[in-house]
Amino acid sequence: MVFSSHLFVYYFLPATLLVYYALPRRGRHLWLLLASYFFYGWANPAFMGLMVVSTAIDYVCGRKIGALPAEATRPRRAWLIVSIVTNLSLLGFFKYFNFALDSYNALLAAGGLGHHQADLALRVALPLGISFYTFQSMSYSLDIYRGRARPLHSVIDFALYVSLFPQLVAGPIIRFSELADQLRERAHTFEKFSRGVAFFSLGMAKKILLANPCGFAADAAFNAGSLDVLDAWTGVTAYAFQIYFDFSGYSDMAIGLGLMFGFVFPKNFNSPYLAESITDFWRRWHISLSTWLRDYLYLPLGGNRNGPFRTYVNLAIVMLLGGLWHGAAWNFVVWGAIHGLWLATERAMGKQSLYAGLPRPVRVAFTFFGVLITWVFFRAADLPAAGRYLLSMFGLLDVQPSAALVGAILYTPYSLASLAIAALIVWFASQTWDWTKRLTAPKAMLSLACLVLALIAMGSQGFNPFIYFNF
Amino acid sequence: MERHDHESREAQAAREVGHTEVGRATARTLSGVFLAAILAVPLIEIVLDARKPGSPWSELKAVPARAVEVARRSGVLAFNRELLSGMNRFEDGLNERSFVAARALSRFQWIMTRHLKAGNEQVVLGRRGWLYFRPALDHITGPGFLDPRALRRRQAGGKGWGPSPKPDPIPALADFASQLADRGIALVVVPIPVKAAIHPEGLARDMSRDLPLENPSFQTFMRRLAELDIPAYSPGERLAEVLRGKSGPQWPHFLRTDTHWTPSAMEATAKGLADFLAKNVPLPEAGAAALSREEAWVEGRGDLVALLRLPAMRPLFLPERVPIQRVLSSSGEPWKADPAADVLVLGDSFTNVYSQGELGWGHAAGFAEQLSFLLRRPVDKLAVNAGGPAAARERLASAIVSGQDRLVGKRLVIYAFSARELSSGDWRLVDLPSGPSSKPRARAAPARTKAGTPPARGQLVWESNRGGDWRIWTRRLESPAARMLSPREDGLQHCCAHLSPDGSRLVYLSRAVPNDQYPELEVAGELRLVNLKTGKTRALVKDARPYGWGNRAAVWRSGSEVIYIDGKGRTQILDVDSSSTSTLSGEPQGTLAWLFDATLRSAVRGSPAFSPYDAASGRIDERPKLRGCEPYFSHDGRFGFWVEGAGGPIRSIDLSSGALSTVLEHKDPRIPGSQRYAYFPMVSRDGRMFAFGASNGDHDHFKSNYDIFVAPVDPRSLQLIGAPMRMTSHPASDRYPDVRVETLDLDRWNSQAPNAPVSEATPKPSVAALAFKVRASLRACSRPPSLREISPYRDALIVCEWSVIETLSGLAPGNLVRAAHWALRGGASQPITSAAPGSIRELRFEPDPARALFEGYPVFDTLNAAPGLAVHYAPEK
Repeated sequence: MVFSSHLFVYYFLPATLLVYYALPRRGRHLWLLLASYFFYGWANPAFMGLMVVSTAIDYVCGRKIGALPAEATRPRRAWLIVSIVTNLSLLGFFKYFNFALDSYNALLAAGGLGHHQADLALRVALPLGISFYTFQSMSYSLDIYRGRARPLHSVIDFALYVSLFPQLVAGPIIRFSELADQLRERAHTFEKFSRGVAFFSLGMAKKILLANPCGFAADAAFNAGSLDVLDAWTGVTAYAFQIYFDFSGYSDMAIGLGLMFGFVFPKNFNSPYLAESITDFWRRWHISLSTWLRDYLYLPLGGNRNGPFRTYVNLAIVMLLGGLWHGAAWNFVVWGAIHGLWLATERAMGKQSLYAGLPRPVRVAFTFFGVLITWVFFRAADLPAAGRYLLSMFGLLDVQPSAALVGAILYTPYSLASLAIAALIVWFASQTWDWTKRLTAPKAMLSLACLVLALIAMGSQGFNPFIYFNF
Repeated sequence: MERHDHESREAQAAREVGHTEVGRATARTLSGVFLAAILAVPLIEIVLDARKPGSPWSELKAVPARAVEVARRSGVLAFNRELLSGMNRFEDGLNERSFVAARALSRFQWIMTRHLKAGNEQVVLGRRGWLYFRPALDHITGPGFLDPRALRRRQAGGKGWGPSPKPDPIPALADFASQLADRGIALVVVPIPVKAAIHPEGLARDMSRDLPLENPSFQTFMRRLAELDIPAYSPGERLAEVLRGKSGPQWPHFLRTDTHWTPSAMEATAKGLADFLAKNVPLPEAGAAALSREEAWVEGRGDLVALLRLPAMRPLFLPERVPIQRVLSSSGEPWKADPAADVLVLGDSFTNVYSQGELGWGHAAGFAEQLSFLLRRPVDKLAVNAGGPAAARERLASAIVSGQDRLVGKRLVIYAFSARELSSGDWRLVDLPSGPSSKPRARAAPARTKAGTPPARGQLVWESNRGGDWRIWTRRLESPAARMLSPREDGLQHCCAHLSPDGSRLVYLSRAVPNDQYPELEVAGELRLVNLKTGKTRALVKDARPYGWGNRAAVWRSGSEVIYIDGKGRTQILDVDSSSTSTLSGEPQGTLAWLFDATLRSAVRGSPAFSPYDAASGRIDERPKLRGCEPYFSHDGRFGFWVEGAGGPIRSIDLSSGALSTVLEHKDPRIPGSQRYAYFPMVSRDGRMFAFGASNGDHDHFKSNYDIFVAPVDPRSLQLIGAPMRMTSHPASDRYPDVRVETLDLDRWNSQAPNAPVSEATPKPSVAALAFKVRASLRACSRPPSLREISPYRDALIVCEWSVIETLSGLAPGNLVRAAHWALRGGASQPITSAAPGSIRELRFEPDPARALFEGYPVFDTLNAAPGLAVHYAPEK
């Protein structure tokens, strides 16, 4: 189920809220759990079984680790390994089986051994949100193992932590230690609820009124067989805005929904296109993933404790895996590799960008330009398509006559207005967290107006799932 | 990567979000208004809509029961697919019928279109009032539709609960051409260019020199059709020439606010096609069709305006007025399609516009009409407005199944479709069942030789799901009539037919298993013996089962002894006359159990691990399994054979030397026609005839169209010595054959062309050609489609099955009647969509002339196939 759908906004959400607040406190978690499974199962009922398996294993592992004394290192580590191996196996099989098979066959074909290709009829469907909930579920065992959290006694509470619908399918990735106390006790206030409404409304507006129109333009460019230079740049810029408003809109809605149910989720975006370097960008973009990778991958690999060279290698590994986490395809690997190299380069320069000496607007522009180039790998259908798109951006590809028609979609007044408003918000407006901190009556009215406009526009846009649902 | 914030994320979150500066009144008002808004909409919608016809709520209520029903038959995966599909239909219905959203949306869209030139997901606004259909524009601007990566992406983009789409048009057209050629009918393909290809001026300036714009793969597509000897006429160049002022009138070639061409473009295309046919596909002189034309003017609003869903009160686009050339018969009557004509125009809405009055652009002036006028001969027409490029072919096939073979007497089929389908359509293959048909193609030899002696005599048996459940079917090699051999039994499926050495008897298995997938664990059932002379059947044992992973369960050791596997997986020998049993392999087996060859020298299980058997010690020396499935033995015990990969090759092994060889290659070119994806191998008792099933590439052993083929083989090597010949030709699955040869004249066999089918006779069902009226009780209906499924159209039919209680007038065709009813008219659900099974109605069925209307719209027929049951048209007021 998608937040920006008729079914969610008008049926699922009101029903879930009404029953939640009608129930006594001890029944609320069970209800939220049932609602979350219903929400998840709507995408594909079969995937619920997978989440149950992942939840059950981590619950047992967490209990076992928590029950053992700290000095029982080996059995504690054994249970941790069970948890990690299970989660990574599930993720590996469901997300990377097809990729591995296709890569193996492509490799054989390239080596002239096509007749040895694996001829398997099995194609594995990617369960929605598996990248998010396996990471989240793993953090439970890891946090207990590290002594940062105590195991939950209630299986319902733990299952709710894994499946909580506001952030289930696209984050923010919430580490167990961040939610453990809230699962035990949290306040429900009008203050929280109204802030949640404001977050949800602004997130919905970001998705429907900005991300989707920008995506309409980006799709026209990226699906085109041939493009001229200007159209290619407009297309990738539209995509940069689309992915930001789509994902940050989702995060705002998730945070807003969490607040409506009394939860406080961490920040996931902090005006990333205002970053002055790639290091700065990763402090502002998908913060919950970058901190997860930092805490559970980069630091265990040694972080920066083993000398500069090892630090660069660690950064490159983390970003490569981060790229692969986004999608099982070579274009995501390349995307991660570029970011890893860029980060390592800046690390070698003392966390400074190559253009650190230039004025701030130029630093921001250069960083945005670099990120824009990498988005081509992220959006293109595959690696060759990304290559062709980059060639189009620099005028190195022949332009077919039909390319002239793409402009008709890219430069309608509606499309241009959407891009202009998106640019204004990206570079000049304050972010949702700050804007809603002081919620005055005019701001409340503006939030509602955004919501109403978004809900009306929603009807004209058909099925538009969030980009990160694919990851 | 590293952050140096001293504050943790949770502390920061608690500080920043946990505390909000908001007044009490503001907080309450904001929360209250939000809740009121999200609660009011569902309340209004439920009150207004829940009891109306076609409500998604009634659809949702029916989903669990339907899914459970499917699960009983087909297992848990099918349950999930059904559930998912039902849930999606519910959500589609909710979106489409939202009372509140529709009202708010139309005003919002009006503002967006008027002031920001915004279209929607399907409509792109051009300059000077031109509107474009987005999928058609994407066809021109998108990647080559034959680009392998684009094809892979489209194939992977299907819905999770349905089969993957087939994006490549070439195999579908090649297959269609081949099937028509088998009937002696030529095919001409006419891809009709999209609006943006001819009129890009609404989107970009000054492109006249580049016209017509084409998808990057279009020229490759035309070249590949030429290589396949399929004539194709592309009207784009001619239309562009007209526009450049070289010839003809200067009307626009497309309606500004509609997806379709103008009458003048259509007439120019018909003229160009007539010239093309004269040069490339000469037709014999036809009897004079004294047709005339008269000009009329029609006015309409484009279908693209309708797709914008603007409020009717404040039109932004004016109606368009165009002249049409109505074609009239000698008596002055409007032109009608002639089913007896030798030319059939198969098409989509480009063929129906100006022909089908319901589209709002006049009638009797469409593409088929103009072609008929220009060719000076009657023409038949079958065109469906939505449903993609397979719709017209599927309608043609279903008409044949129900006894109305539109290909009878045809020499030429003109297949006209919008070129956008090349980039976005599902080009699934459609099998045309054999019917009485037209004259055979010139190079095809008759089924019998000149002397009247058939090249082979003998008996063929196989499994088929022609009636939904699996039954044993049979035919003689020399005679085309196929008949069902095993009885109808609710809930039981029949398999594993095996002929006795003298051909007088047959054993088969009857089991309670799903009819759409192999059971997860082997299930035992009743092994039966049929006396083929008397037709009498008796049970031999109550608990016999196949060897696992395939339907082979018995071997005739001699004229009276059958080797079979009992319910515990032990192998037994049964004397069918005395009923005495002895055990060959006493150790109970699991999923895979041993089956022995007639000489008791080898044994094999469901996987091809041919293992020596020592009868003295009773030991099987189990050998490593080879890759593949469906192993079996030649009856002299010399060879084993099996299917090595998906769809072939079929391999054999010399059981004494271990030498491997190939009986049939993967997609072996010796197999006639397009069905070369082979499974289910079997060799006749005397080793002279090889039998197998083959599909056109679809794998599913329960749903794909496998037909049975036989080919002579050398019993000493198991190599083919004659071309395979098709023995069955039915859209259902025919599989697991067994064959017995009485006589075989190899010279005569090989003198026959490989394409000559010893075609199976399809029983012709009775069809009521005239109107009739009945009182009937509803049994079941197809699911109604969503508007998204039939976009850009808003009308569709469904099929319902009725039990006739009483015939009120005319002659009803039987106790069961299938009828096509309007499910959607102008986007609104019709009452039939909410009719409950058991409800009783008086139904009036229209005679054939009404069929033309019914044929123009997509029919969603999701009922189980019922061969021989015609679909009638039941108009409802």
